Amino acid sequence: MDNTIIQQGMFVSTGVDVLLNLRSDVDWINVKNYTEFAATNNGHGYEYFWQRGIPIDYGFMYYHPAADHTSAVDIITTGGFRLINSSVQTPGAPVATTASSNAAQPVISTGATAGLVDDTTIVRLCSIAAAPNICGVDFTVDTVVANTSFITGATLANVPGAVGGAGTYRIVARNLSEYRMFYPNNRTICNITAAASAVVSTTVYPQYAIGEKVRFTVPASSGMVEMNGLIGTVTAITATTFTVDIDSTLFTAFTWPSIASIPTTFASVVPVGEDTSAALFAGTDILSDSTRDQSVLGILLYAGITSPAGSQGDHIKWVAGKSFNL
Amino acid sequence: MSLRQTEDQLTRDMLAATAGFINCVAGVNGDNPTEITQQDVSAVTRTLLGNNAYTIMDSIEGEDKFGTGPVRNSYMVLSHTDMTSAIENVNGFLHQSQYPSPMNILKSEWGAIGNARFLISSIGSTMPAASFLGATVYNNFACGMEAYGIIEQDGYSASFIYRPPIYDGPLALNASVGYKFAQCPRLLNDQWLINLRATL
Repeated sequence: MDNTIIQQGMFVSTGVDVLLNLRSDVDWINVKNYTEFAATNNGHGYEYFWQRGIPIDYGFMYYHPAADHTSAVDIITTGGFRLINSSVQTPGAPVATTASSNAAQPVISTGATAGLVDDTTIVRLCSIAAAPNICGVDFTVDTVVANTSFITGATLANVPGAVGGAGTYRIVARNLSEYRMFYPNNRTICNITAAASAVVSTTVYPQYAIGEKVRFTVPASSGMVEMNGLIGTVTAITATTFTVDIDSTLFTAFTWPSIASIPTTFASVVPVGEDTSAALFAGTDILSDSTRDQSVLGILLYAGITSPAGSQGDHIKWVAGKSFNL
Repeated sequence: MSLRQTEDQLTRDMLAATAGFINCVAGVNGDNPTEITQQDVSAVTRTLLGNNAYTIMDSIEGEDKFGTGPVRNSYMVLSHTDMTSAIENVNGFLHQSQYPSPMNILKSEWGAIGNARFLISSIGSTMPAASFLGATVYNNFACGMEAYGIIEQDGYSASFIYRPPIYDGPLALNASVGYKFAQCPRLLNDQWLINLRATL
């Protein structure tokens, strides 16, 4: 395996970061932006290199220093390459927050939003003064205002009950596929509607598929105790919710736990199996509920005009390999 | 890192991701979840009993020995070594050295609380900064019999592979060693296993 090319490939850039899943780990990678090779865009990179040992997010770059085919080199210190091992579930460093609003989608004020992406990044709030009932819970973030604030993507059943003070957040995962090693995984529930087919919202966006069967755990602090222990089949999904075949019309209203109820267990949902006929009827893969390890070893290519994943429409080709350490 | 440890870690991570959970709430450390208490262990035991989960371990009959006590038939709780002090502080804790018969003690066993016997490991499941106050949350998996299983793919069970230098490189300079396996841990019945989450 050593001193060999382990994989190569190509992709067309969509202008966003690209994670390459590489078996056997990787010691070096060379990336060529064919579009920029042919073009004469001043300041745009056209070839990149990374090898094990250089700092995180760094990379070597060849670029056009003028609007022609002349060449220059540089070391990029941000927006280069980053090794990824998504089986390591250690959250990021704590980032200070200054306040949280008393809204059903709490606005979290912070002077640092690096790494937060709307509807994608998952964070964990901690130690927010006066608002313990939104802490220790993972949330998908939304409406990120650079270095100012973000909101929770999910809408809580009711407001937390108080304006929060200073606290921290940590990035738990960059996206759903890196959140928890195994799929399908449990979720904290932030709302269940009272309806003929209950619609469930979760603090981290659900990944369930139509036909999956899920079991609910709803403690008294969340109101809708009639739902506790019930199993439902997922009949519809959106990016942020899923619908189950449980008639909750006459159930007690679901509530987000009050501040006074802390400590408590938040309501949760756990995948337990599959209704195969429902999945077949919906055209869903009947193995969509199967337990699988979704963690990956790989390398992240950042996007941008001086980054290896390039800009929208760029044709990118890459070669990665292993080598001895001397 | 070893083959068997990797298998354990994968099983641990599967349980952390897919099992139902409840927080310890009866403690007094001001966090959410709180430290583990007898009420929390009782709540888990009661729930497993209500879900018709069989206990894994038989009871150990009491004997006329100083400082010992009978051990109830028990569910097994997979816990972290950091939890040992917290477990010992729980009302009714019986250390394994106080079991009437050492023949029935598992090597990793720390002791029993009611109908739960605790097994500890340094690679037990944790969630860093996951409590209200930002403390590490410890996952304690209370398991009934056959609550989870590990499915091995046919012909691809664990193998430890060593290749001496003569086979590993053209100049016979380097040996290589590694292991591989294809298997999937998964819950067999979600009602027979509960993750009791606690802080210290």
